[in-house]
Amino acid sequence: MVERSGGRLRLNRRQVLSGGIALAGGLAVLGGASYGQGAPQPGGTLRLAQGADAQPKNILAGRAGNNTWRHQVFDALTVLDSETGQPRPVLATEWESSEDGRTFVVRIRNDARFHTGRPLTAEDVVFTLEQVMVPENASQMAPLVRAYTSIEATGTHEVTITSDTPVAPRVFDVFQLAVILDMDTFSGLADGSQVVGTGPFKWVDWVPGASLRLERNDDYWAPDQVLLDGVEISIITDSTAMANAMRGRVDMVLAMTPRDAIMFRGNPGVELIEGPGAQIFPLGLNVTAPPFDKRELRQAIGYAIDRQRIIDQVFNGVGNASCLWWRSNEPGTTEEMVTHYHYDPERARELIAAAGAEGAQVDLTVIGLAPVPAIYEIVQNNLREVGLNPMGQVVETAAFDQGQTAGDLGPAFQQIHGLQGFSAATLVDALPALRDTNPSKFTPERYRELKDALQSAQGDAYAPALVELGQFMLDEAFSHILLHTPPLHAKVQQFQGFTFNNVGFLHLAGAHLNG
Amino acid sequence: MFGFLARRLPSVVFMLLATSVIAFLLPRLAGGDPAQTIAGADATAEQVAAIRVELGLDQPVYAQYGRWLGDLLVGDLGTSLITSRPVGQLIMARLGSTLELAIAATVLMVVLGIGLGILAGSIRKGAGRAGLDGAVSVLLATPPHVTGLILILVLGITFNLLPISGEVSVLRDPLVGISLLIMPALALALPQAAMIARLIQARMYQVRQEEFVDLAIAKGVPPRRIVLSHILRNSMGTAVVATGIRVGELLAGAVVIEAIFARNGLGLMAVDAVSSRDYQVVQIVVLGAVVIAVLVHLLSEILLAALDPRIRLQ
Amino acid sequence: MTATNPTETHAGGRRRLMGEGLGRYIAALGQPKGLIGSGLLVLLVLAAVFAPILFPGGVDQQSRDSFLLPSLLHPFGTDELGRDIFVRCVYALQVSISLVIVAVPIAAVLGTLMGLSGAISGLLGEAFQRVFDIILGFPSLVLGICIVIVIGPGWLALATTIVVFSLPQFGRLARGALLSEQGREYVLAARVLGVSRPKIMIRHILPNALDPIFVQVSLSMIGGIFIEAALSIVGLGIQPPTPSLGTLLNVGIRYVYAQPMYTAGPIIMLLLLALAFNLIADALNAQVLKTRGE
Repeated sequence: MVERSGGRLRLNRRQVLSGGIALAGGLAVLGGASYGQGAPQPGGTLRLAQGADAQPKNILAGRAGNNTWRHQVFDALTVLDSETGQPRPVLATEWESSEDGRTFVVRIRNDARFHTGRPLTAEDVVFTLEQVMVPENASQMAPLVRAYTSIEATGTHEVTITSDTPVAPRVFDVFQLAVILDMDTFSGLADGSQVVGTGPFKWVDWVPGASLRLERNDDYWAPDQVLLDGVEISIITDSTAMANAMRGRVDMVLAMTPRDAIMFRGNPGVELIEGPGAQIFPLGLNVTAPPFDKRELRQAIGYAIDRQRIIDQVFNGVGNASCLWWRSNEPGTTEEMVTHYHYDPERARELIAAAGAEGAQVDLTVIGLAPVPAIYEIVQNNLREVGLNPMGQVVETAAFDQGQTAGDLGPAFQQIHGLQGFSAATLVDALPALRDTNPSKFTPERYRELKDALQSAQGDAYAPALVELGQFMLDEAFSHILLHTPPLHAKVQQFQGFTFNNVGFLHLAGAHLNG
Repeated sequence: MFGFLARRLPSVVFMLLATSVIAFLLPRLAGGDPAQTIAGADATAEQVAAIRVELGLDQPVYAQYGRWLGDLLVGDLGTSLITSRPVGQLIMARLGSTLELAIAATVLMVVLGIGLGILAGSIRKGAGRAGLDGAVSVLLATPPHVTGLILILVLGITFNLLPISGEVSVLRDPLVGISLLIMPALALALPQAAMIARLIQARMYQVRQEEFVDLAIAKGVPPRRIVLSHILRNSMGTAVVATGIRVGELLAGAVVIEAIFARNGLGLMAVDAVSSRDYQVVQIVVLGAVVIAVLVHLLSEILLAALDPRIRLQ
Repeated sequence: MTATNPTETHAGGRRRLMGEGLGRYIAALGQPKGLIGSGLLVLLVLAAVFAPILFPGGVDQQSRDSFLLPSLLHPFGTDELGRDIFVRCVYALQVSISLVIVAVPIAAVLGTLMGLSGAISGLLGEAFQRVFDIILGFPSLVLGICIVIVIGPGWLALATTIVVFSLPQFGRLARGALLSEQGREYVLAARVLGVSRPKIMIRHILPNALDPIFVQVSLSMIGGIFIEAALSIVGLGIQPPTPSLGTLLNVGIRYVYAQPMYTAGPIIMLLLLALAFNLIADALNAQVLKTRGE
């Protein structure tokens, strides 16, 4: 794992956050408590602060505001482990794939109950997967599920999925995002009046834009995992105010900006942790129109940008300069691929000269969402240094997203993407910068072929397929990833035993306040 | 008074109707789409289209307006497109924060305004007068957001006396709540207070010229009492009207003040609603702001008449 | 035409007054207050205009030296990208000054004409009054937000906001002059003599409104500068990387611990601009009152 090659201290810190994983698997819960202060005591209410509001209506889609409570109220069939990126069971007990991978059977627990008291059955799983397909639910996994030929309950606690292409391993991305919903109360999700799952905590009270309160589920199927009495989440949209809440008002602040985190450096009572679930910042180039129809010029942009300066000055040193579109723990990732594009203005100038594009005007559309405009200021400076003429236009998020959905953002554009931690095979069709309707208008046949090859690769065939696709994409340079920035969380010392999964969602089963 | 209200009614109704049309059309004229906000940045065109239909945004604009106005008349403020919660409920959830700010600011505004005004109106010469006049001029010309930033720099950073951002309800933790409230409330109140001070000062000069004051002096009433009882009583009307008009501005100023001091109130809700294109919320906020301004204006005219018998409501 | 023609004499008198008026305004700027105000303004305008010559490195000279403390080399220190904050503040003046210099005169001319339009048609004048009522009914910032969401954030939206926000101030001043002059004998006489209504409006009524309008221009410029700052602080104004006093504050307040000058610098510029216009307004006002003998 390339991004984890830090020193001892660093490793230790990482361990706390990316966390050992201990739900159904029965593994030990990592964190301070496991270093022997006796068994964690139950009780206490955990107070969290986050910047984005909860969006129960969009529970089937990846949404920052749902990361903190999604796995408290709901359980998934499987979640992706933050160390290995591999699935581990939660509601699922076992699964098997047919020889050709086109039939996939998953069996689920028979002792799980919804908060309404109704036992979980295979029908609920089928219902949930069907909801993933419904366009209104805006799930990023919709295209995957729609490609299945059938989803059936083949027993009270067994679901069978068939497809024309292999179902696994991408089905685990679907399972990670599609937490199992209660079909009886599904309509209550729209306004958050009824939010019912099988998770360790119950949804009690939501004041939109202000706060969310959860309380312990006494009937959880793994009762010894529920140690906290409840969870209080404050929604504080201003980043500085949110960080300030750490001064005694909350036990944990999620996803603070590095700028605000500085306040807590050297503060012994506050622990800063870099979680999984990073944001990535693509700089896309339209390959169908001048000047970026020339590949040399596209590659030049990759060498022109001083990624480390962006990390140092915009993100106060938090982030890594990987130029890949997925997390570095994906199988097959090599150091060469991660650092393929690095700051080399001399080389950029040579490539620009080779493309005959000296002084070319670069019209950049920039999403007006912090911190992208700040990154643009350095990009602009870098592009000028190598003899290009950047003309940026910062566009309000609402308008920018419309262009992104339509696949139309002009000759060059700076986006912001999440979904890090899902498999590369899924991301190449889910990320707007990479999917077939990408605004770079990059759609050669070979691109689709390589994607298909990766998506049907089984077992050990996955890594080489990913390397081939990744190298093709790097070489074509239609979308440059400028950097990955991990979410920065702060917590009090006493709060222990929590975990994050590979996509950065919080798990509070096993968490306690007396570390 | 009822005659007065009846005469005012047509123009008030006209103004509110015009505002409702503006409030309804403005967010829809802007680019962007609430369906896109709900569908998210990663959404496909198909997902966005499906959500548009779900929200009823595919219907003709006049039909949407008619439905909104009809609902409004029966007291239904509509449902937020983004959170699917009743707009009234969303407003109530944020009202407390803004109300705390507005009350604190109004108290400061009235106290400082009247205090400064009487002081400036009583001192008639010398360096004190020039200094006060200067101070009032500076405060008057500096809007709340600039005052707020200066307060942050001075009280928050240089002297580190008060926390610079965040919010805790005064009801929940009075001490922390008030310490977080002082700077934003002061920032909002100062320019308005200066305005009131100016008006009172001017009115005091004016009243002093009037006959009944001469009469009082002739009768041997001590000068201090003249200032406090006679003149002040007669200047209050102006102050009340000024305060009334200022309360509307106070709410408007709250938008920027809430952004600077990171308070989660109605102003911030309005800005958020604009950027997420939550038409239903934007409409109500714009209309509500104007309704409040109109009501406050009417009310202060009535109060003025009650305070000063020489004024007839026209 | 003889000297007994009341219209002619009066119109002549008015015109002379207008000539005198210009002289009076210039004389006002000769007073101590006016001199300081206009001097300061000229200095700020020159700095903004000649910024590219004064600071040939440009507004975007970045370095690895983030958050340097103020020094002789960097009077306001440097920002997060190692840029000189003082240089950025001076460049930012371009936005503020260009905004008010374009928007306020437009508002003054439009607003005055709308206010005086009652001289042409009572109905038209009344209609514009209702428009002003609606504009004044909107709390100022709500109005700005409304305009921004239609036009989209940027210079044009800010200029429009300043125009719309300033219109009623000029309109009401002009309307006041109209109402007080309308019934005067010379206006009635001109009307009887068949002088066209637009001509009456421009020749006879406008000159009476000019004094307060000139003072108001100065005051509206202050308002305009602060409107830019307010909308940009909320993120609805000028968009980065173009520096404006408001966008600098928007970012600066985030770094207020690391670099207080990032907030203080733009505020100093804002206050200097406001002071300059305020002194000019004061001087004009004093001069107007003096010549009117009030």
